[in-house]
Amino acid sequence: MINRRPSRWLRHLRLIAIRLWQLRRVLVLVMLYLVLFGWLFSGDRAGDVRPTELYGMRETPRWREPDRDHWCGTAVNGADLFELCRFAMATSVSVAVVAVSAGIVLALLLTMPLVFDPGENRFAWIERVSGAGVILPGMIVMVILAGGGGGGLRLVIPGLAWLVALMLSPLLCRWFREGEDGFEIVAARVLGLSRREIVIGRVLPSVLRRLPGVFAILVPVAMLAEMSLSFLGFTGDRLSVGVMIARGQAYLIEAPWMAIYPGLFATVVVMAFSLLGWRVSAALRTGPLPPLL
Amino acid sequence: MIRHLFQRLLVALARFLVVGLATLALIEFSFVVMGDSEHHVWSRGAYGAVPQELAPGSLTWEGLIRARLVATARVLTLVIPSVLLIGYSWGMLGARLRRYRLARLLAMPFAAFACVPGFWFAVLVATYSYFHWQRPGFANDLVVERGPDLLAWWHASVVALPAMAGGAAWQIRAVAAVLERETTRPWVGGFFVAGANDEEIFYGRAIPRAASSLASLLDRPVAAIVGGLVVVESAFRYPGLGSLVVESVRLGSYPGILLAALSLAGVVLVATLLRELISSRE
Amino acid sequence: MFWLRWIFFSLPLWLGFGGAWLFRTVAEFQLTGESDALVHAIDGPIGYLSPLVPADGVEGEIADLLYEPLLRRDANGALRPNLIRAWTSRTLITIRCDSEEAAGEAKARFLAGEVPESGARPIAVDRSDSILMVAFEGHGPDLEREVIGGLPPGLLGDYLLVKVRADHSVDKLIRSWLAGSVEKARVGIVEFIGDREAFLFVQGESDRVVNELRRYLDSNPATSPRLDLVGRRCHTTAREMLLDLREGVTWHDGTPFTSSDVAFSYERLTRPGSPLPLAASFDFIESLEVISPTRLRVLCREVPATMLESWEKLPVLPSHRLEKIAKSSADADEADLWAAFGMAPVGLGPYRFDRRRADGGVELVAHSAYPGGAPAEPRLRYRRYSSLESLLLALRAGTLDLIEPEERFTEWTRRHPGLTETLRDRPRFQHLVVWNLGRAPLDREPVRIALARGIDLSSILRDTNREYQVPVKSLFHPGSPLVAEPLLLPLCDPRGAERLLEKEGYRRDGESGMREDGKGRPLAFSLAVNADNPEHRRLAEALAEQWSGIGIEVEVEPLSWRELLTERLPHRDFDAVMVSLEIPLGRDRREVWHSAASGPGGGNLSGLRDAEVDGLLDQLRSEPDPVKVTSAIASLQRAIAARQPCLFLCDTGRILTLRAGALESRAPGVSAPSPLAIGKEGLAEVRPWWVKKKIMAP
Repeated sequence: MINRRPSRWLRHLRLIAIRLWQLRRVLVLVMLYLVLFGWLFSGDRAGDVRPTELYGMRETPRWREPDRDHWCGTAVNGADLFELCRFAMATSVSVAVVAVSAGIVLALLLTMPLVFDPGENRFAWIERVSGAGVILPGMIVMVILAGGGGGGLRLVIPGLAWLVALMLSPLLCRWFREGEDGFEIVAARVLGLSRREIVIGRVLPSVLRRLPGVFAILVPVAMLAEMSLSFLGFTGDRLSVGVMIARGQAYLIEAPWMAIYPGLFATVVVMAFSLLGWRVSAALRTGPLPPLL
Repeated sequence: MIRHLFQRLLVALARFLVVGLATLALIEFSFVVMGDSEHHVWSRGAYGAVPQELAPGSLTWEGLIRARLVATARVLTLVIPSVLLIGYSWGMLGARLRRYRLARLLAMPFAAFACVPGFWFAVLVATYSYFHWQRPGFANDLVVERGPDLLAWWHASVVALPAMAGGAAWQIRAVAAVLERETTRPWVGGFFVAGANDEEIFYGRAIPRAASSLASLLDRPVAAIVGGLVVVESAFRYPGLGSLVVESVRLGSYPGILLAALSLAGVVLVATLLRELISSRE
Repeated sequence: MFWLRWIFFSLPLWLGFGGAWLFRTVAEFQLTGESDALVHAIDGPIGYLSPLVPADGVEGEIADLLYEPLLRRDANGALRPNLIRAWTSRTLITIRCDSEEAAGEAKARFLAGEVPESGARPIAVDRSDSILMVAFEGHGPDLEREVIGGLPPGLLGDYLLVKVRADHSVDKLIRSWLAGSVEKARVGIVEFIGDREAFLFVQGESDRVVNELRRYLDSNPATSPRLDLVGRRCHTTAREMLLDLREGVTWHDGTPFTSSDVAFSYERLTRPGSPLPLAASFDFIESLEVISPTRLRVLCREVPATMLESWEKLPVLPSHRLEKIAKSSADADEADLWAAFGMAPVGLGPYRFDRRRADGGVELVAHSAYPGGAPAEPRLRYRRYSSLESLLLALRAGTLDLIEPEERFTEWTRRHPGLTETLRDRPRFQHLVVWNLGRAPLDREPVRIALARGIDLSSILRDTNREYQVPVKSLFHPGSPLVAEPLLLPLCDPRGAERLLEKEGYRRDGESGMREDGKGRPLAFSLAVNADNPEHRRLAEALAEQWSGIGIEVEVEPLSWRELLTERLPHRDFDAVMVSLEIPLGRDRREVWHSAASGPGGGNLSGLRDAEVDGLLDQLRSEPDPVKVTSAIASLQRAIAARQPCLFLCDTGRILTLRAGALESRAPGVSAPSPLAIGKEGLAEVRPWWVKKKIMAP
């Protein structure tokens, strides 16, 4: 047994275990995140539920007040509102996840080509465009884009992605800039490493490490944005919490739960995602992000 | 000083023009390219009188914008000073008591409230009014024809609250982060060694040193606040500029979209200009 | 500094306290001000309140409250006095006798009662030289014949009556001719009727006089003179009407209502280019003269039996407010002035206009000087509720009395019965599809009959939440005592329709299923419809679908109302058009069916030219005997039903929705209130007297 070298596989496994133990807090949060995802996306997805079926008036509406069987009550056609809220939130989460991911990738694509430029003002045009762009609030841009283009997710998702990219780009520029100021970067330059090697080997990993935190913070914001647009009727004829509240307003006097409970559900879910997002971003030391939209 | 002011004004004007052109391009892309509208932004037929749906009486565009601007100004008068007051005061307090992580605690209720969809909050208020006060709850349901218009301030407060929450939460944490970062600088250690206490260092040194960074936070939440107004005003049926954007988009009225969007962009621009002037003085 | 810091840090809490104070204060607000008025919830802004254009719905109701007609109708449909208090008609016969002695003898016969032998007695007889003037009460059709026939021919002068007409200044024309005429000695008497007509009584050999006059008139064409030889006649007849107006009536702004207002309205609305073309309705009038502030004299060219219906149609305009229109020459100015008047109208009705509300509604206040007594309800408020919820709250709280329901409200009331009730007004509008009889294939009567038979109206007509639709029963007002039998329209018989079309040579094409004639031309036409009227569009689509079932291709062409009114209808540029006409209360229908109105700009949109129909319409206009009128109406309806110049769709009337038990009726002079009811006279008669029920405190 003396001088027996451990196998390569065992060594790799040990390294991975150590790494995972170091990231244990983040992992717990990610697990919680995934559990929340799973719960929202579980259940029967059969059929493409349209708001008109749920909220269109009928001769004898089959709505019911909240009770033990239906915690949030039922819609006009008798469908359980709790399940519908879950389905609607799953839609919002999907849209938010896709939009934010796309936005982050877009921001990286915009900034990466400029990172290898050694000039001082290499990020100047991004910062100028972003500085000018923030003058017109993002929500107004989304309303004009989605409303004028006829609504639908084909406009909402790319629109949100571009807004995320526009907001993130100056932040990524700052992180890249800050990343090049560290002591180890100076040492790497002294050792004769090229700019490309320094950026790819040192700066980029530190930036990429923060991106999951950014993602976690931005997802609830994007969810709120998607719900707002669906409330205004600009996301097409698909079920979303905003649409449920907007349509439920029509029955405010007779069946107020149709407008109240979806909002409550959405608040709880957004709060859960926000809380997890803050914890993830704190664990990954993402730092404060500028306000979006 | 005057020269700097003119410079900033020119820059602001240039930005406004850029935003105007960008808005026109956005309208053209959205309505014509994606939406199959036949009216281009440069065609005369797209610009006409105020549609009946936007104003029941016969109003000109000027009159309509003025009325809506007054309504939105009421909201902004409530939101922006509140956000700045809460953000700076509790941000400083949170940074002062950073060992207890007070900034996060103070920001938490606002952040939690910011998770509430603003449009749902507006509907909730209206529902409460209908059932509890037996009174119509939306902003355009009641018009005060005689006496002081306290109801207008109530409506403005309801619209302001969701917008204020997110802005206040962000502002508290941003101010606290700036001050906490300042207190971790190397010069702090030197003052400790020299015999200064935490309070003297924080109020006497850290805050003045961080003044320019703090001033740069003045206008950051304004764009998000103004953007949030668009949805909450529409949800509460509050006749402001935000709801005008939405109504104009629904009607396809280009002058309405342009005027409302540029008015709101103007608000953000003024905030940015003031911040730049204040920062430059620091 | 320590305290300053902590004041600074506690400031956000003060914001919270301020918010709480605002919340408490707002919670204590009470809704006030709605209990002082009868509130009517409307769904759109109130536009111009014009007295000229018949409006439907709420705007029609408001117009009826603001404006007062000259005459009203009773439950039997007979005209009764209103602003015109009384009317008398006189016939004045001027007889040229052979000599002064002959005139004296004729006068004696009149005074002795020998002439006329029976019938009307003269109310005045006057002699001047050889001219005798006799006045009778009323306008008897045979009066002239009886009077002239009752006198011995030897007493009467032998004259040739020559009538000269000109556009104006006929007196100057005749006088200048007489000044230079060689034959003027033969002209016995010249009588001028207004500025445009002159009667010349020519004695003896009249040919040379007539020729000289004719030559003179031909050489002076400036005033377009025309010469007519009436015949051997020794008399002229003038028919006049005296209208006595009600005294003590004032406009809403306090200005007294006088005969100048009636004269102004008549002049304004009968001139060419008038916004409400009434010239054809008043073509029996020669001239109108204001005698006193409450009396007008109307000189009539002829005396149709429907004279009073014309006065019923005339809206009364305030001359003191609208004289500016008379002076303005530019069309744009006139349109602006009418628009300004329509936004702040002044009338004579039981309610006066108070103000326009910011939400697009209006407020009316009881007119205290209304003749017969001011309405008991002092204020009417027409306002908009921005949401169904606020409307339902107001309904529950009892602060809302009448509602213009929309779909969501109707559904809600279906689920919560008992909170509202409905009343039906009399039918006011008739909806038709007018065929252009000048275009193929609609110029063929069998095709039109087939089109009528191919429709099942019962499946198309439906009541909306504001309007009911009933099949057309008559060309005239439903329930009119002059209509003895209904209008018998072709029954739904698609097979019969197809047989008719086959007989006319229209066979179905095997591929398309649509009909074609022998030359391969399809049996097709376009149906123009008002794009802004959703009900018309629905009806048009439904008709097109049913006609396609019998092989007729119909293209529904939605057009803006402006285009229809200004371009298509005046030039009859359509195959078929769907229109609404106000159901008349009177019986004169010449402007809709007579061939005289079939020219460009006329009201006979179909272009019907039928001698039988023309004769019946003329008879209806002039016949005083109710029995003969009833018979003529029945014949007219049979003729129209047979010729099918249009497809009669439905009559519509308004459905009013009220809060249950909210209102009662309190007419002036009646001590006890009565429940609401709308009789045959319609809503306009009863609406001013509706009041909110006062709930007595226990």
